[in-house]
Amino acid sequence: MLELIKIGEGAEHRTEVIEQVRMVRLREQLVPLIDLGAELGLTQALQPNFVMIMKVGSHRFGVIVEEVIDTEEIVVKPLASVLRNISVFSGATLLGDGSVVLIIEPNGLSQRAGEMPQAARRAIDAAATSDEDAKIERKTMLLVRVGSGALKAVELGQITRLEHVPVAELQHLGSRAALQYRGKLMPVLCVDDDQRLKTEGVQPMLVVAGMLYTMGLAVDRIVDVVETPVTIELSPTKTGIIGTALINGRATEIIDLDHFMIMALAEHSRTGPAVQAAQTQEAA
Amino acid sequence: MSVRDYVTVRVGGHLFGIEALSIQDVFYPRNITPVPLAAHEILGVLNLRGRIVTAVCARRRLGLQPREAGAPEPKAVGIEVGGDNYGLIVDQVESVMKLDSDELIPPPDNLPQRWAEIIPGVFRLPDSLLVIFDAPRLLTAGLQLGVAA
Repeated sequence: MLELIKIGEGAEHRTEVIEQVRMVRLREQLVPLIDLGAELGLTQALQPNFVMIMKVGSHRFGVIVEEVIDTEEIVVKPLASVLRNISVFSGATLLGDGSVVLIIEPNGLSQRAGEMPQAARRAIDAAATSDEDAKIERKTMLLVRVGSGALKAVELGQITRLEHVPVAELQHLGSRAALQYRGKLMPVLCVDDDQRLKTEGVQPMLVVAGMLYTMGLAVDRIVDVVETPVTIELSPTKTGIIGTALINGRATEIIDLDHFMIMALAEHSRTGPAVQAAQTQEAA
Repeated sequence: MSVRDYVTVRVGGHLFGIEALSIQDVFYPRNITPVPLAAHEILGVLNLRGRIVTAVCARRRLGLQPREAGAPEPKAVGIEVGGDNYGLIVDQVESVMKLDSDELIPPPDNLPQRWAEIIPGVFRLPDSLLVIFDAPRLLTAGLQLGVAA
């Protein structure tokens, strides 16, 4: 047992329910709770007043109890064989007044706490992660819509300009596209494989200027700019995406700009003068 | 002739016999601490002179009706099984009978399963039958949750 905290009415700690698993937020970490009464099959609902935070191995969990009476040094006596397979109890002991008290086995309880829905486990893990790097800086993210998939985002600071280019100015070179931009030919890349460049009106794009070359990243629509902490929570499902983060409560894919810069470099390399640039880039 | 002592107990109106050698003591089961998650037949644990005794209800064990309200306080027969102390809760402990174990009649085949596994036989008394319990089996067989009986 690690510590004892008070919950319930007017208490500092609040409990919340994620996927039917009750949790308590303790120093920015979510700790799953076990209702001891329900766990023991007691029909009378107990008054949740205290949580005993326990740790078994690396597994931390809280046990909701009604009242904490005292601490006492005891000698644990084993239970009879017909009771020994109840994993929640490790034995019994006699108190000074002669009554028999059952001893809770934290291991047995932890096994029960282990059986929790995936979403609840993820919530715990996410909370644990956010605790480790508590100093997550808030970033200004540009939200864009590309294709029918999830919203995508990129750090605004990495973008040089946002452009809306009339489609007539886009030059199609086979499967690739380019744009004459400030006297140079700038490759225009798509974020998604199944993404189509616009055929009429204007094509929104993010212009990213590197040291030696510039690229345009075509998007369907520029949605918003938000300032938010960004924590990658899900690993990437495809190239060009760093991972998925929760932004404004929505799963948002973070665009890997470096990936597209390299692709743009490859586009440049196909043309004579840019090869030099590429080599310079590599040397740098 | 191999005469043995049998303690007769009353459970739900029926008379049963338990071999006296297996019985350590007879006591009033009081201050029982219930054990959650235990089998229905196990009433709980209690302290008997510093020993932790597991109380097993004979009525529940035999599938009989619960004790009537206002019935006299039940008694417990203390029996040790495999180093553990048990108390078999019965309505009344009646007497001790000397009976010849050679005259033990095997139980009839049509006995319900939960009875057959705990009754080694029956004695024919002058005016009735005395059903004998195998006390260790009565107390422990099939009571471990999740363990096949």
